[in-house]
Amino acid sequence: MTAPSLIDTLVSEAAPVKRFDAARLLRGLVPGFLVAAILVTFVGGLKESLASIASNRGLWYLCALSLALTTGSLALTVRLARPGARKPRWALPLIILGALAFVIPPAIMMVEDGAGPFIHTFEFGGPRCFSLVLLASVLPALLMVRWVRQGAATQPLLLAGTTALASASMGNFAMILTCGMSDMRHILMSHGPAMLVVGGVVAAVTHVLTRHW
Amino acid sequence: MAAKHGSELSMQWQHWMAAAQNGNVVAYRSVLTGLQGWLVRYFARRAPPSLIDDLVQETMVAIHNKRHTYLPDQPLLPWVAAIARYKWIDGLRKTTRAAEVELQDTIESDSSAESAAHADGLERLLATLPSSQSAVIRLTKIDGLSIEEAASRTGQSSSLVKVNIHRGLKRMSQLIETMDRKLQAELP
Repeated sequence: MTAPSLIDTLVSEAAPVKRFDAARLLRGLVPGFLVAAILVTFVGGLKESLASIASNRGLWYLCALSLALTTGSLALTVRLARPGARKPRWALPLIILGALAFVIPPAIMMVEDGAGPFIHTFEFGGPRCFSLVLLASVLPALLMVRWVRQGAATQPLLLAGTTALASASMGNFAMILTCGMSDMRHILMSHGPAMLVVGGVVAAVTHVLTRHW
Repeated sequence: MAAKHGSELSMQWQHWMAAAQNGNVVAYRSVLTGLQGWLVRYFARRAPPSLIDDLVQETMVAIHNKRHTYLPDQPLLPWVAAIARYKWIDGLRKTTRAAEVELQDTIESDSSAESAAHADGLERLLATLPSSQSAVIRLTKIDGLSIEEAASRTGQSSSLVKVNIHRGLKRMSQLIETMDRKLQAELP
């Protein structure tokens, strides 16, 4: 096929297109996140009363941290999903720090205690929150992967990392109300492993779906 | 003067691409024609001459399929260059992989199983192609499906199916020629 005939073919399919921008992602993701948060609160119930949650300063710090992680990774994902954007220098450090935050503290706790990290997971109500983070992450993760798949990633590995981080941190953020605990040992030992599972699955799926286009 | 002209041209392409996103056929043809020349120059500095045509066409198909990812308030050429660079690296990867494919030195010519051998040879040729090309060739040239049917089966656009059939057949004929030359050289 010669170039002019290819141009003829492509022009014959020049239908109007819906622009791929952040607004389009947020239009799906914000309701999706709210549905996920309501769903896990309905399934898991409130572990603490709303008054004690509101007075828990540690929880507010945790909310701020989760929000920063979510918005940071979302902004990076939006940038990496389309070609031509400048490479974000802080993408890789954020992914590495995000992942290490859930690996190093459990390892330190394990060495200090001389016991397995799963003891802590069970001691601090881990299985309940572990499952709820997984449940809360499903809808945001599906919406994120669906959106990035429509893009054209020129750095698919980095995009997989930021999509994974955004999905996992949104899942964690969505169930803060139903958990209501700000104890870092609990967060690290029960929310952390669930976020690693979500992140691993989302990263693998995103990479497979976005590297060829 | 030339830089100013280049910048004006780039702005013009940017407007045309934005109009093309809204379905303006004339603007789309103009921007694709302009970009075709730009891509030829882009790849001429990076790829061997034999690959330039393929790379330009693959990039144009990618631009077409991913035109919704262009934001009209952003400059067009960095967007095009990022796609071209991705396709160039992809092309290099494919070339390296293709070089690793070992062709059979001999072709079976048992007359009693001639048709089976032909089918086997065809399968071997198809196996050397990327799956996107072999799948559409199988569907359209062997199973007899139309371009649209092959497009819906494979999830490719109709234009990509046409390009992949053309590319795949071209590559197959090149392979046959290579094998033929090898056989000729082996003859006493």
